[in-house]
Amino acid sequence: MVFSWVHKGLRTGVLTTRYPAVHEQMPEGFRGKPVLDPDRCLSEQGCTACVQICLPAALELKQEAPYSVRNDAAHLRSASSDCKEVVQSDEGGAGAGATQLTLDYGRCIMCGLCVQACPTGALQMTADYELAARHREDLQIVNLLEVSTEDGGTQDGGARFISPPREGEG
Amino acid sequence: MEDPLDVETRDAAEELKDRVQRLFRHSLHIRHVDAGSCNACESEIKLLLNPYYDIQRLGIFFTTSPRHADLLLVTGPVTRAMEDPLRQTYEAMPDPRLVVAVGACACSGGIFASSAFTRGGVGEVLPVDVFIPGCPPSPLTLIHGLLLALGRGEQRMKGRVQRVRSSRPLQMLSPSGGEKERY
Repeated sequence: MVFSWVHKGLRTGVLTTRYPAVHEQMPEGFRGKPVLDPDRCLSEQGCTACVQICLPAALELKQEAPYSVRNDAAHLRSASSDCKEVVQSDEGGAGAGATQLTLDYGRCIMCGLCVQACPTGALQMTADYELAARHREDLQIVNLLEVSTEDGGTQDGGARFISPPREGEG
Repeated sequence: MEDPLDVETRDAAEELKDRVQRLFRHSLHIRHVDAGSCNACESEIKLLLNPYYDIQRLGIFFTTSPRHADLLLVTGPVTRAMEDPLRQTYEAMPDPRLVVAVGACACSGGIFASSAFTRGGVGEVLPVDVFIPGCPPSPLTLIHGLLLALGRGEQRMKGRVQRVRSSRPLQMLSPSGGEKERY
């Protein structure tokens, strides 16, 4: 019996992770840091699916000047004369009324509900687990839509997108 | 124009911080305090001691007394009942000491942030050196956070700029500082 234990131990070898020196591959289905692809996000078109479903309110949508106020007084007068234009003035004012999607990783519980709720698959969970930060502000991303996922490189295989699968990836 | 005395103080503080981090690289003792956690974080912290993660290989140990500890590991959103014990634990620790907040609750209050019976995060009570988000954070995230607190790890979260981790392994510093070391 003892010999079988020794045999098993010798056959198995060292199981301890070599983590800080060697990057650990996370198991299938591991939910790490969620990231957003701003090109596919529909929040500027009024989609709030992820914000509504976020349990700890880590995702927040802020709208600057929702009725696209222009400094131009003539525009305001003409707008107030026509009720329809005030409501739909978003297309008139470029820049004003911009949507600001903020994500606070300090609040995120990595539940993945936002990924399921996202109609376009813009939000994705990655297998990234190195999330520790020295400052609270480092965990807060103020304007998610301005941030490019290309920054830092997603092609190197370090971040594995889990769901939904992307085109062209095995 | 900055006061030269302020600059001097700041430089001295930086130098002291470097010295402290150099000292802690050799060996570090942790005191863990549960400040209203649901025990999910504890479950992951416990895993650090198993043969797979084995943080003792990195020179990090758990201790039972805050008087023997260098680092305070806090979980939970800091409930009213645990606020004073947490402060007392911190005061019982010898200087220099580090504080690490573990989990979404400790970082920001998490889903309990709006509750009247919590303080909404460790940052409201103690000066926190490293935040480890996650609900619960995986043991590898915990190792990353602890090494970050010791100046042996590299921070990947960059605030406004969202980055996905590169394939480059974590840069390790030897206790003497400088060159890479294999663990």
